[in-house]
Formats: sequence, structure tokens, C-alpha cells
Amino acid sequence: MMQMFHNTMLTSALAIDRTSTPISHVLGGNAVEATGLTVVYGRLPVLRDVDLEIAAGESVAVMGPNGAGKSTLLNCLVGAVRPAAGRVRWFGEASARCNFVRRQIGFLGQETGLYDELTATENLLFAGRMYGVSDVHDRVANLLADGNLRPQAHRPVGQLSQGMRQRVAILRALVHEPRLLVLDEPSANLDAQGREWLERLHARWRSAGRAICFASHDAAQCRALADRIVHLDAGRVVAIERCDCPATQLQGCA
Amino acid sequence: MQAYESTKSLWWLIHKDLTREFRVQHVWPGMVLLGLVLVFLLATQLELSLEEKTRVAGGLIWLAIFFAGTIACERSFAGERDAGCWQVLALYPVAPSVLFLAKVAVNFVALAALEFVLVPVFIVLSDVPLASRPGPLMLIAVLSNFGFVSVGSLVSALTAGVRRRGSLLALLLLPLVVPVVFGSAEATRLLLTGPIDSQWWLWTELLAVFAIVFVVVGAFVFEFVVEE
Repeated sequence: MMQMFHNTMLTSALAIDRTSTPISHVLGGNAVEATGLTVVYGRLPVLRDVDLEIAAGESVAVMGPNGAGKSTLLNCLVGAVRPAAGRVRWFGEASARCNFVRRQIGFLGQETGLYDELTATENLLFAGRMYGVSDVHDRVANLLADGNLRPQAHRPVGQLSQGMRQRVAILRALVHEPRLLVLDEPSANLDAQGREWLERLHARWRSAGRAICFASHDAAQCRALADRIVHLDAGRVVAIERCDCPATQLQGCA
Repeated sequence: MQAYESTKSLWWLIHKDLTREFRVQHVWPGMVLLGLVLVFLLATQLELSLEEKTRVAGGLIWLAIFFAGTIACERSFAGERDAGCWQVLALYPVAPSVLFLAKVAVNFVALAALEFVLVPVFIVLSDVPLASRPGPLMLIAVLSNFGFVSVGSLVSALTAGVRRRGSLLALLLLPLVVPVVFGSAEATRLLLTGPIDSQWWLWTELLAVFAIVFVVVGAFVFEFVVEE
């Protein structure tokens, strides 16, 4: 009876998770393509007709004042918010619920999303296990060493400083080696040393061909790290700045 | 292969929640304390003969257990939302039904632990021979727990995203679990006052049906419940 029950539940789990459909694993080209994204909270439009494409190896920054829709845009790019209109495709796939897509995305939200009661190691191990990372212990040990967090590895995250928590959260987004990284203000709470570490990581991700999209209020950092800066205001893309020659290539796109 | 992956994820989700609770004890001490206060009041304040107490004991103990158990259900998703962890959890390549089943399992363990404390205390304080037939009582407990925590986990997921949720969970949950409270009270009363007969099996089967229906329905609709 229990075995039958167990099997039934697992079957239902698979039925709900629409992930077992064959997937065209398109790994080249654009990591993510958003077209005509419109998000409305209640009656308030938060994003209006936003288009954005990010290619493999490209870094795109999203800037704008508070309430411009940066976090909502990033949430759409990871499939956490469903747009009222428009669509997003990840590696050629239209559904973010597909396990293949989820394994390609690393996300850091506005909050760290870490469990305060668990240690840094346990938080990373948990994330690694959820993604089915093989050799997860080695992977986590390497990440902690990379983030200069070895001394804090076995301390509960709730006892770490904000900057250290932010580092752990960034490492959590990397634990499964995603091909698309979406980071909401990754340098928040980081000190100068932490920012340098983030910049080094950023350079490595790009050279490894990962697509990166991050939101930031720091214009200098955006220009240093990104290929393009998407300027948002009141939910609209008001300008796209190309960082190789920002002064001449500022494009209005009302 | 996918079933194996889902089972592993289920185990690690349960492991994570139990580790968090054992390490910091956010929920269980408050739940047990509330249960003990209720059991103490119910067992000592009723001036009834032992025979009359035996007849109402089932209703009293299950009321205390489910009322205190509401705390465990309430915190199961609110804890994830408070820390901003839900957004991350929902993006893992894990079926929503696996997340639901993990919460059901953790809440089941919480309720079972509560029962292991409250039932002996109730027996000592009221002299009602509640554990005279431990096997059938365990069966009632297991089925009632599944029924209660499946509804509780679902409602908790619904209310966790609501700001100023206050006592919304209790308001929604307690009316929904009336069949479980009623079924477990009746099954326990019949168990304490007579032999195990067809009437007792009828109530036990009702509990089983309720438990199976809500666990299965919960697993199917959870995806839509938690959608932003």
C-alpha cells in the first residue's frame, strides 16, 4: 500500500513537472531573449514592452532609479515572474519550468535567499544537491576557497557579516555552473575587497562564455563590467548604452 | 531516473527543514507549549466521571493536537518567505509537488512529535486509558496527521505570500479540517468505549480517504497555489 502510494506521488510529481518533454538543447546563440515584456502588479504597470537579448559570453547591466522595474525584469529573465504580455526564451526553450533551463540559470535576488540556521557549507551543499551537482562536496569546498570563506565555512550564515552573506549567496548562484547568471545588485554590502573579488569572478565568467545580466546603481561599475547598459525608467527601456564607446553610442529607444 | 532524482531532492528538502528546526527550534517549543497548556486545561478542568471523560477524551486530545499543530503548518512556508528563500527554492529544478510533499513530511514529523508528548501527559492528567490499544490509536494518528498536514501545508503556502496574514491560516485551516477532527474524535471514542467493529473501520476509512485525497490533490494543485 505504502509502495503504491509512494509510486503514485512520484508519478504525479513527474506529471506536474512538465520537464520530461524532449528538449532541443540549443546552447549557442542567445542565452535569453525577452520580447515585449509587460508586467502589471494589480493595476500598476511595472514593465512596459521591454525587449532584451543576451548572448553567450555577453554581460548586460540594468540601471535605473528605484522602482524603475530592474528587479522585475531580472525576475522575468529567470522565470520567477510571468509577464502579462510578451515572452522569454532561454537557450531556445520557451518554458522556464523545464529542468534543462533551470539548470542553466544562476540567480541572486535582492535578498540572499540563504538559511540563517545553516552554515555556509550546508547552504551551498543544499543548493548543489537540488541541482544534482556531482562531487558536490569538492565543488562547495572549491567555491568557498575561491570566495575566501574557508574560515567561515562552518559558521551559521546568520552569524556572518552582510558582506560575507552576500559572497555566500553569489557562490550559491554559481554552484551548478550555470550558463546564464542573473544577479540583482551583486555588489550590495560588499566592501572594496569584495568588489574586486566580484570583478575577478565576472571576468572569469565572461571568458568561460557565460551570459551575465546584473542590476546595479553603480554607473562606474556597470561601465567597467558590462558590454551594454540597459537604462530603465518607469518600466520602459529609455536608453541602451554600449560600454566600448558609451559617449557616442547612446541610443534613445522610447 | 527522474523518480530517483525526485526522491533524492525530497530527502534533502526534508533534511534541510529538520536540520533548521533542530538547530534553532523556531517552531516546535512554542507548538508543544501551547499543546501542553491546552491538554492541562482540558484534562483537569472537566469535572466528569472517568466514563464520561473516556467518551469525550478523543475530541479533547485531537482538538489540542490540531490547534497546536497549526503553528507548525503556519511556519512551514512563512519561514521560507521571511528569509527570501522561497524565490530561490522555486527556481530549483524540482517539481512543485516534491516541494509540497517535503513540507507535508516535515509537518507530519512535527505533529507526531507533538503527539508523543501530549498523549502521555493527557493520560497522566485525566486517567483516561487512551493508549489501551496502541496499534489502532497509532493508525488513527497517522491518518489524521496526513489529512491535517496536507491541508495545513497547502493553506500555509497560500497564506505565506499574504502581507499582514496574522491568523489567516487558522481561520482558513480549522474549518477545512473539521472532517479530520470529527473523524479522529469519533474513531478514538469508539476505540475507547467498545470493541473494534465496522463502525470504527468506517471512521478510519473516512480518515484514510481524506488523507489520500488531500495529499494527492495538494501535490497536483501546489504548482498553481505558489505561482506568483
